[in-house]
Amino acid sequence: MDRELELDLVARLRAGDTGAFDCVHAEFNTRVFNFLARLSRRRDVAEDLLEETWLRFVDRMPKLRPDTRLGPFLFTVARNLHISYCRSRLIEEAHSSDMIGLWPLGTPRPSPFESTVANETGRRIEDAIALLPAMYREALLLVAVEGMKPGEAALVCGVTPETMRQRLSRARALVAQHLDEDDHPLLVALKVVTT
Amino acid sequence: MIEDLSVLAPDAVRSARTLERCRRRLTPRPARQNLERAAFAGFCVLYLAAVALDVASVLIR
Repeated sequence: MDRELELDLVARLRAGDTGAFDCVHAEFNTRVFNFLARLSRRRDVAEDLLEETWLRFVDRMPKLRPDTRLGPFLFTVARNLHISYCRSRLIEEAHSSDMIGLWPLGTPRPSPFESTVANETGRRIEDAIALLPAMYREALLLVAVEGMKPGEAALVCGVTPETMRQRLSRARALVAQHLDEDDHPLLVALKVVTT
Repeated sequence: MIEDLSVLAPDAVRSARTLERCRRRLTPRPARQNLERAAFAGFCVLYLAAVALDVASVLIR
């Protein structure tokens, strides 16, 4: 999104302009949903968190800073909601295991993207992303999929740019292990952003 | 940036519903609606105060 247009939108959002909100919704709705779906690996959870993201965004609109970057702001809200969701699940599962004993906590689910991918390469990339631990997966999604700069992704995740680069580097190593190819497009893209 | 990843569309009906909810939150409430709510809240407070006084008078006796 063009920076001038973004600043204009932020000014209108601060004034409560519904037209500006519609523009932001149209620009980011699918992107935030895909980020949440890959992060949570569940379509239903992503739908719930997406709705909550927009409602939170509306509540915070009047307090936006005039120089707010809308992308990082929205992805931060979405990420924080996903963390809250994971925490509540952990507590829920801990209580369940207390009550039931050796109740299985479940195996990692396939990503909702895996069933929709038509080609083998796409399927392998989705598989590699879905298998990454959450902290590396979110780093990879923000930088290599959403096209954020590592500095912006660091702000979203609340870490230093150096930590973000380390996470991206680690994500690249883990994906390389899974794909077993050095010149895979995903690895080349990751190499560009981590060097 | 990886460009050959698939894009999953969110549920259109739910997205439209969310958009509508957001728009409703953004639209300022009419002054008359606010007045009605304030009047109802005032009535509730008076009613609860009267019940509390009634209970207190029974207990004091």
